[in-house]
Amino acid sequence: MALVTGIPGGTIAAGDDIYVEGAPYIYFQEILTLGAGIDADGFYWGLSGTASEPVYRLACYEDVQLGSDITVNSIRCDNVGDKDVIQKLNHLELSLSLSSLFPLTILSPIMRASAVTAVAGATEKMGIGGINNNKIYRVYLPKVYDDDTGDWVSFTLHRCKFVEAWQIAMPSGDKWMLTGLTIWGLADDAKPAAQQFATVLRADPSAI
Amino acid sequence: MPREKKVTSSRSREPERTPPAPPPSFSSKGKKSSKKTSIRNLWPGKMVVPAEKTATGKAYLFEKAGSIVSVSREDVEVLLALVRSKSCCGGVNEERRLFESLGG
Repeated sequence: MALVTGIPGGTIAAGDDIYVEGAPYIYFQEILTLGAGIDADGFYWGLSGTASEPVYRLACYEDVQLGSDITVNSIRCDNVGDKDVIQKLNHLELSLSLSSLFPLTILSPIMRASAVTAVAGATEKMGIGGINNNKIYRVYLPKVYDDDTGDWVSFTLHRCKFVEAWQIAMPSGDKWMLTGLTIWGLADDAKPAAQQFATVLRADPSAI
Repeated sequence: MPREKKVTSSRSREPERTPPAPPPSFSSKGKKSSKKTSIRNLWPGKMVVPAEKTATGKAYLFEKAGSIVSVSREDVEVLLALVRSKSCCGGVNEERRLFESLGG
């Protein structure tokens, strides 16, 4: 239906009527020896694990949010006001609350605790000591938004650390919940400048 | 008549040879094969398999994720049967093995 006000002339790129609901799957992997996967178009995305460098997957979580931390400084001219603005992306920030706390091998990096020793059929043991600041992770967040066609979108954060203080809420009549879980997506200068913090991939053959 | 030659041993004495070792004997019962199989740790961390869990009574230590240890053939089946029964994300009855065999 034509608008009374008219529409802009020329080429118009309209948004899709596609709405994504729910949290993505969350995978992370410590960066040790395996390099990041690169595809034929020069984009680094996804994760691939081995027995010695596994990919971890979070089981149950809530309140997932992904955002950016940006420094903004305006160019102010007192005679007219802000004429321009300079922005710098500092890091990306993924936050969530985690209710599946086991095994401890998954909890250990989140809490920045010690390496875990497991005794088969018996116990897992982990210490909470000083923080090892040398552990870096990749994080992969895929989300299928159309179960019928398998269309999906993903975020791959190339260089991450678990930051902020964690708390474990232990309420009566409800599940334990680890809150304050925050992952910073830091700059990876080994990646192309355009992908320094993350890569977003969308697969949707019918719409693209 | 030719003189009978007195034969004396003029050759230098050969050193005594040690008799060859007898071939190893294998008892038909009791003595087990020492063959080993390489097992890789699929658990994402250090894993100790206590002696009471194995058939031979040996304990095994896998120092980290992906570590490979030679284990007795008798223990292979026991280790490969160890699973995580409550792992998420794939189905109620999906199992996660703790070890895999690399053969040899």
